[in-house]
Amino acid sequence: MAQSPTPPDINAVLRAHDKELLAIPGVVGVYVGVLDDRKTPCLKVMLAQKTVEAERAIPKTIEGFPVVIEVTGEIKPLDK
Amino acid sequence: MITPRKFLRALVALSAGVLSGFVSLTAFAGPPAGVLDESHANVRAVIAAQREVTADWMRQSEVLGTAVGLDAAGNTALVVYIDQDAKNAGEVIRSLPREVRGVRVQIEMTDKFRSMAKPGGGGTSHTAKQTPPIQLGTSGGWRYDLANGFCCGGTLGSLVSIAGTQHILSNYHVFESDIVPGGNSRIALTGDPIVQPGLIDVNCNAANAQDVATLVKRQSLPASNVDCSIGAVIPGQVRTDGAILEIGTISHLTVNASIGQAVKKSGRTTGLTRSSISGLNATISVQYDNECAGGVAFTKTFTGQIVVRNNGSRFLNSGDSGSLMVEDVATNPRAVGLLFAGSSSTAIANPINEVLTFLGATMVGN
Repeated sequence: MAQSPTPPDINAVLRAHDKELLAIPGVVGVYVGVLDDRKTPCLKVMLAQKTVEAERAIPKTIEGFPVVIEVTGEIKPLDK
Repeated sequence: MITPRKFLRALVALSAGVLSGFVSLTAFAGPPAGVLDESHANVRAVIAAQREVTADWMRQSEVLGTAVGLDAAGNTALVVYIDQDAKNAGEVIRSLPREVRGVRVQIEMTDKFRSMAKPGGGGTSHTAKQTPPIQLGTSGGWRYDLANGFCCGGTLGSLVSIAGTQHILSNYHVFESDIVPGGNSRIALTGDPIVQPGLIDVNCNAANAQDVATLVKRQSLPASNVDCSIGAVIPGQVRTDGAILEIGTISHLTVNASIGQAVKKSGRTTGLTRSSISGLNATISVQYDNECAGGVAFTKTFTGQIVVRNNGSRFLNSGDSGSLMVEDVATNPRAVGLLFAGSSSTAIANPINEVLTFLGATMVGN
C-alpha cells in the first residue's frame, strides 16, 4: 500500500537552493517566511533593487513552496 | 560616519496631537502675499476651520494631527496628518471633506510622531556620556576608530560573562574590523580601549569619551557565522547587573526566534524600538570594510540568520549595530539575537545562541 510522502522540510529546501539563488545578480538573501496570510510558509528572496532579469530568473515555486520576491535594498553592517 | 570637520545634526521634530499647529513660512511661490503669520487673514481662516474640526477628526486614531500649511498651489490650507501605517488610512482619507468653511483640506501621509531623545532633556539619551557605572544600549566603539577623514562607532549592546569575567558584547565590525594600517596606520588589537560614547558622538575626539572596557579580539569574521566582538570591562565602569537603557536587567536565559515573535532592542541611534520577526534561517550576503571609511575587506555570506521588519529604518539604523534583540516582555526579557546589519526595510540578527557558543559566554541577567 502506498504511503503519502512526507512533505519536504522548508529549511532543507532553502539550504539546498540558497547558493543558486544568491548567484542571481541582485539577490542579497533568501529566508523562510510566511505569506500575507501570516501562516503559509514560503521562501522569500531579497533583492537589492527590482530588475526584470532577477524577476525572470527567480522561480515562482521551489519544491512546492511559493517563492516571494522582496525588494529590501543592500544589507549593510549598521555601524555609523 | 560623521566628518570631524563639520559636525551637523538635523532634527525634524513635530509634536504629537497639534491642535493649533502653525507652519511658519519664509519663502513660497504664488498667493497669498505678505508674511503668513497668525495675523494674516488667510491663516486666521484656516485656524478657524481647524478649531472646528480637529478634536472631532482626531477621535479617529488614523488622524495624527492638523496644522496650518499650504497646498501644492501655494494657497493656505488645513493640513491633516494621516498615519501612513494605518490599515484604514485610505478609508479615513476618503471620509474627510475636501474643504471646510471654504478652506482647502490638504492630506499628508506621515510616520507616527514620536519624541526625539536629546541629551540632558526629557527622554533617555543613548548617546550622552554616562556617569559610570554605565548602562548598555548606548553609543560606544573602538577608541581609535578614526581614519580617512571619518570616525565610526556603534552600540555597546549588552553584557556577557566568559569564565567569570564580564565583557561588553557588540559586533566585530564595531570593535575590531580595522584590519589594515590604511588611513590611520593602525589595526585593532587586544587591549585597545573601548569607549563610551563612541567617537561619532564626541566630535571624533576620544578625549571627550571614557574608556569602559578593553578589546578582546576574537576575529569572528570572516571565518565564522557570527558578527560579534567583546571588550573586558574595566572594573567600576559598567553596571555589573548588565542593565540596558530603557530595558533594564534581562534574563540570563535565551529564547529561539520564531516568526511573528514580538521583539525589542535598545541602541545608540533609534533608542528603544520594537518590531516583530518576519523570517528565519536566512542566507544573507553582507559586504564589510577594512577600516572606517576604508575599502572593501570581504563579502560574508551568513546562514541561519533572523530577519526582522524594519520599515523606514525605524527599528534599526546606522549606529545601532551591536544592539541586543530581546523578546518584547516587561520583565526579565530573554535574548533572541545580536543585531548587526540591515536596510531601510529589513534588519538582520545573529541567533544569540550561536554568538554565545562562539564566545563561550552566557548573558548576564536574572
